[in-house]
Amino acid sequence: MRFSWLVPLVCVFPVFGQGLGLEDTGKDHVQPSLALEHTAVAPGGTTTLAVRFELSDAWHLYWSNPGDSGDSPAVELALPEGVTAGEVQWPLPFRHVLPGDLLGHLYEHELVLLIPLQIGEDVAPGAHPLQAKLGWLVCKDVCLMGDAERETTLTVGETALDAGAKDLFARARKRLPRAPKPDELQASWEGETLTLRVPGATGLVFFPESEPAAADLLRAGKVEGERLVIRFPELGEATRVRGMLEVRRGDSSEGLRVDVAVPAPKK
Amino acid sequence: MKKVLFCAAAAVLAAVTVFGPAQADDMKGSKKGATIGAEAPNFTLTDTDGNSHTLADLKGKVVVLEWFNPTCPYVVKHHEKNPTMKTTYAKYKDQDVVWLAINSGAEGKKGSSKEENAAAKAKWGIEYPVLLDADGSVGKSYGARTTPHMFVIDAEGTLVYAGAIDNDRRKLGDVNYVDKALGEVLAGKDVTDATSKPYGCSVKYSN
Repeated sequence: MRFSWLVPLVCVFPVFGQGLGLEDTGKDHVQPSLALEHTAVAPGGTTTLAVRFELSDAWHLYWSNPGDSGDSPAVELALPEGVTAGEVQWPLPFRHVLPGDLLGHLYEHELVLLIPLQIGEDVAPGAHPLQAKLGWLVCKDVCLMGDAERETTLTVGETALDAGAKDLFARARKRLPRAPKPDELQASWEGETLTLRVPGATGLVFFPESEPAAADLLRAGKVEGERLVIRFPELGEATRVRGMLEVRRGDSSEGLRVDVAVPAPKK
Repeated sequence: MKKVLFCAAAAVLAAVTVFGPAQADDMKGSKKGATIGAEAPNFTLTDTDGNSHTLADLKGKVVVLEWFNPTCPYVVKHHEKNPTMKTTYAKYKDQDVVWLAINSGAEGKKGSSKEENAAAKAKWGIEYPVLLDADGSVGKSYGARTTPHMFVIDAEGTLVYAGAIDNDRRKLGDVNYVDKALGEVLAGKDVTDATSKPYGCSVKYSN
């Protein structure tokens, strides 16, 4: 079969076949698995791949912006010809401050990454293997690296959901941040300072992506009330600030997607 | 089958300014960390052989500080899997460059004991001292967050580099920032990449 490469925007991953460059000494605390939302998908259709990391108690993985230390898990897919993958959807992490005021964006117990798959019109009906190479840094009081290869089968045919995977996908989707409703999230800039406001919120926690770097996320990234103010001293050429916002309203908590335009620099 | 490279992480290492202004207070150090272009915080620490080292005594020499924890896979990567630290140290050791490893892990935490550090030093053939900073005050004065976290101090005692050892947290980077900074400092030039985002395990502070 012919191989072709698809390299997404920011990617400095090792080449498939050379391994992920991570050691396999951390396999004990992470049980990885794959699941597809559909038992079969029609040509031209879409499905979702779940990459699930089940963790031993008290061990954690990191979000794509891990914070002051650590590293997020790595996923490298080998897809059937004609099948393309969209952006990984991450669930809302939790914010943890370690001794020494070190900030971490963590997941415990279970991390499920959701990856949308588009099946091309011309993909032949039948079973197609889908492989994933996974690598991770899992930490408790020490950090260990681990890796694994997993495979699943993507069947092209009459579209049908996998009833057995329903709970997993429902659970995973519940943890994803959702798009803000109109006027729910107000963003404004003053120079390099961004203010995020969610009227009615009793608390906010901001999880910005790694780039552009937010200043003093430790002190500014978690607030009581409805307004969070954070500085981005190195905007450079950045046109957007992205991330997640955890919104507390009394006892309830949910995640909102943040995707804010950066104003053009004044001339 | 088509291969897809899929990044589950932003892999570009950002240039990040290290924390806030440096404090001249040698005794307590600063919780905020050290600043590029300012005087590197002084310290006195004891190494695994019981010898004392004071930064101020090293004026006139270029100093490299390497935050260290023998149990951290990223430290293992640069000492055991690849001789990054050893090679860089060897390249400059005869040019009046002093290299000090510092472990700011709290007593009782894995990788913090004198025994573990002495054993790692022997096992990995580390030729420079491994200093113990169990109360974490020196680490905090520099703003050390990860192991490894690298700092380069010029012969006048000014901090000229703070950040990662290289430009790839997963594979071996093709740019060794410390090697580059040392080359520039010794040639009397400004350090062009003065900061980078450090990567590694968290420093195991006591509080």
